Amino acid sequence: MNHRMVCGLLALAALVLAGCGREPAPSPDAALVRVAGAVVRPADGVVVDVYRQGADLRGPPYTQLGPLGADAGFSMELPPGRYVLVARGRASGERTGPVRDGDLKTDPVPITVEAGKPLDLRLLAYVKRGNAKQPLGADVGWTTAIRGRVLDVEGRPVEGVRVHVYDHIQMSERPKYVSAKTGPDGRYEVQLPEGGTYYLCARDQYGGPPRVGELYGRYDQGTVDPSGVIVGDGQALEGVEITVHKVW
Amino acid sequence: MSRSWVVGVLLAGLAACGVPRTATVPELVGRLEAGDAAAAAELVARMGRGAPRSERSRAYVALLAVPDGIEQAVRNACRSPDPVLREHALALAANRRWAWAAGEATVALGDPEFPRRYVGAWALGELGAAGAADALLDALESGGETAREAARALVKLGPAAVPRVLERLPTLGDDARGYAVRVLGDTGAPSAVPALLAALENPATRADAAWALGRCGDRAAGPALVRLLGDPDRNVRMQAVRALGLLETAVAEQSLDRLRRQDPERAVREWAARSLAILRGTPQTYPDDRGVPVLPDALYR
Repeated sequence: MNHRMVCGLLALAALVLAGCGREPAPSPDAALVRVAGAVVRPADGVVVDVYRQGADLRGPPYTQLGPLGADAGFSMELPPGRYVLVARGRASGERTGPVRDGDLKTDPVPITVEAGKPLDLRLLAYVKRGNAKQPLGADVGWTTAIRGRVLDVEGRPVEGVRVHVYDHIQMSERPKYVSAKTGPDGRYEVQLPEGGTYYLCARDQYGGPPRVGELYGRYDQGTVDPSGVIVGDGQALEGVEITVHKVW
Repeated sequence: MSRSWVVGVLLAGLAACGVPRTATVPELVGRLEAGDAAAAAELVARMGRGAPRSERSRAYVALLAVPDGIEQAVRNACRSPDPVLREHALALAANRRWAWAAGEATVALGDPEFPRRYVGAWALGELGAAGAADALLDALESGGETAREAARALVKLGPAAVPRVLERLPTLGDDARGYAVRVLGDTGAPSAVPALLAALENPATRADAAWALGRCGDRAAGPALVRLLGDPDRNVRMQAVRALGLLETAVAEQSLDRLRRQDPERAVREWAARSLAILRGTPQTYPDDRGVPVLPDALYR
């Protein structure tokens, strides 16, 4: 086949293909049909928090799946019972902590797991809009408080950590009260419903034991047990400083 | 057009323009594992002040896991003028249990120019460096996080450190002595009881010594602790009632019951109720600030 003949065949094929791909011209009299749909962005990077029914959805979950891959699929095995699932995708990449303006989240999805009945779930996430925050306790008029600063080992204020407050010395399970994140001045305030003896730590993550690389510090005097902070009813205790350093 | 393709084109463009691209931590690990010795120094340097905090953590975690080829670079970093790099390198050396780590940690702990000396104490505690007890006792005088971490390290050394702590105790300043007394309490060494009874006489260490006597478990300390129940300092009374519960000594029952009902400080009443519950074997209430009987948290669960 000579060169000129090949060029001719290619041109003919191009004309045929162009003709096949052309849309038929719409008739002005034809009835219009509404076509609707949704564009779904795969929720990669999202985590799915699984809570037992009745648990505080702001606290550590029973288990956590993810971050999910590009197909946003997940799979787990749970003992029979009632659970609540919440998927959360934080722009910060953190697996825990508050969901902020622009982050992805689902509404809580209650499920009942029964023996021998597998479930296939579809979780619909949406983008959170608005990020109004109110200090914990402010809305109920708590006047007892602990205030202070979170510092690094060189005595400089640390931004972006929360103070976790426990009412038992083991400081296990979830904290009873949590401050807002510290600002550039490292200051925090935790409002409390009543006076008592409290145990404090500061960390930049939430949930589970402190992990390597996390900022963590406990209020203590070098002892195995933490030191209690005693605050009276209605008292605002000032100057409780906590030093954090990286978990090695 | 896929995202990776776009990134590839951009990187190629940058390379073509002569703009150097910083290798990622996984890339450096890959080069290191392929035998590129220069990657070790680069990866270690990534833990320093020049890198963002998240990058430092990534490099640190990676260096915890790489098999070998980094030891000399880390050792060099243990003397770095960059305190952040030095801090990371010392922690890494301690976690990797390298033989020289205790020596570098001791140097760091004693270096007044190093603002993160605490990590030297932490490393010595992790390594269980019994020979470092004196360096750690010296560090108790520093105050702040260095003293706190030195106290924790001494507790980790355990009974091996107790003779040196007892020997140095009288020569330490008040704050450092408080730390040392608490170390003795956390160690729970019976040999510390005479020194702790003596520490009850010093107002600066009285509360800590009361608490520590409870941890040591010698009931012979009971009468001395009962005498503290009338102390004007609420912290002294609180630590004394706490200790008497741990000692489970019946000599304190009446006094504990009185404090449980009548002490002006809620925290003292609460601890008295806890200790009394141990003695009596049944839960004990105490009056809260409104006079309502409440149970303390089950602390010893």
